Amino acid sequence: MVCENDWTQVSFEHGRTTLKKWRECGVRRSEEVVELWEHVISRAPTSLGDEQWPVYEQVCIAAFDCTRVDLAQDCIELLQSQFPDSNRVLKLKAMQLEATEHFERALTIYDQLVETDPNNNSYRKRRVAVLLAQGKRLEAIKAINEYLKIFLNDSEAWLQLSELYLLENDIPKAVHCLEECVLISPLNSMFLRRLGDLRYTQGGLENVDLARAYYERAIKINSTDLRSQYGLLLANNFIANNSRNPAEKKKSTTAGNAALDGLVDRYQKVNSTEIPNTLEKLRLVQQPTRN
Amino acid sequence: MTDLLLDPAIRTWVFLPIVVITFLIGVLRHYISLLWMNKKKIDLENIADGQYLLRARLLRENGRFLPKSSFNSRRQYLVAEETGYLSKAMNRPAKAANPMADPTQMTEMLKGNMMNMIPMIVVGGWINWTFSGFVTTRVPFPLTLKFKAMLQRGVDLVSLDSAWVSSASWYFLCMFGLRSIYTLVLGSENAADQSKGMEDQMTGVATNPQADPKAAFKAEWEALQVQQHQFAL
Repeated sequence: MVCENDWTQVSFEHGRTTLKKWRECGVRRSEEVVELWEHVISRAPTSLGDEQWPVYEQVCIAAFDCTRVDLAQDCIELLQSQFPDSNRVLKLKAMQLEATEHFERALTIYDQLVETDPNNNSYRKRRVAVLLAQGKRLEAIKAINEYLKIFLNDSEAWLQLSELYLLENDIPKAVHCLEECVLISPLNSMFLRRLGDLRYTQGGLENVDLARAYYERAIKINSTDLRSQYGLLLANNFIANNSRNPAEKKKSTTAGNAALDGLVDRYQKVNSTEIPNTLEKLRLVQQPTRN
Repeated sequence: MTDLLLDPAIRTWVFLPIVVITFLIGVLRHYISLLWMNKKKIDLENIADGQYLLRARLLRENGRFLPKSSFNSRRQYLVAEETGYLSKAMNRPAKAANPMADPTQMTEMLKGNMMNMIPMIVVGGWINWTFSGFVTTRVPFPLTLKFKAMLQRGVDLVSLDSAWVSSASWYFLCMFGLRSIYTLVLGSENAADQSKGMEDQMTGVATNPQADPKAAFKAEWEALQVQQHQFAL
């Protein structure tokens, strides 16, 4: 995915279109953005015309990410002089406070922003991020719950919430959150796989059966999903060992072996020189089913 | 039939002015509407309503990927007798169903209409009055007689070939054909184009999410009630 490009050498026009592409897709390639800015775009920012303002915003956020406080400060000052009463600039300032670990002050700004513009969900999300950065996990959970009461089709927030619940060891609630994610985008194999993981962790024949279904679905959508393949193997092993129904037992043994074969195949394909013992380890997993 | 030869002065004083005037008026419209239109205020409840409707639809469509108990609890959350969100929203008293009751909405509509109608009437009338009766240009392909009414408004000549375009028709062609140029000059979200405004007027009522949330809620509520859960995996 990451191409080893030397961003210091590209042409101005190329840099500009690249920044635009990243901005629109919301990719987080902060270091590259900063590099592009410093070596290419900052030569002549005014030639961008009106496009320079979103570029400043983008560079500013990227600069926070790389702890380039000086660069961020420059961007904010420029934006501030152009848009003195903008909420968006205010948000950047709050993010600056966040980056410099002045969390309480950032929180007050976000609260204020939420009050003036309750429809904009990004301020609420930033609030949660502040709480997380402070390590106030329970408060963050509360804040996300509040947020999800209104914007309840935000899979990003559900995913975050499920991770938080997992950290609290509250698996049923995490399952609930991930099920929301699956509802919102049923074709995302990551959600399905995680849901499978959670169901498997919950244990019990019924849950593992569900886990197996989710793993199967995840593999169907993304056939290279090694983790789902492995999950499928484990779930099938579990069912084969614990099911009372002999037909089911047999079926899951064969399914488990098929999953194992898939895994072995895949490892052979990628030529496992880095992990030489994988195949032997996989054979070990196989043992209980064969007995 | 000998070919018609147009006076070059018509090109300089009728054909090009019409193009320029139409274009400039579009630009002017864009900036005036930027000045006039205040940002649409949508309150939080409306957003939540939309989100819940979307969610109900998602649950109906993708609920088959959840186990039965999860699906039922979610459905219960939405359609339960007393506490379900959809049930509550369905029985919410209708507010401001009458546009007269909400003066801000009225002014908004009035502004929109004025932006569309006034330039159209005034400029159209003025162009008709100033530039009427010229044959300005011709389309480079032959057309049937039916096109005469469209392309030769203001020039009623029976013997004139229908490929010729009169000044008034040229104005209309410019008005509706400049959209991509406006997009180029003013960016994609511009208010310069009149034809877009007209489309909005025609379809706007149907797509407006706030038109009648109660009906939408009722439809979703019924659909969810009858939904049979079938685990798909």
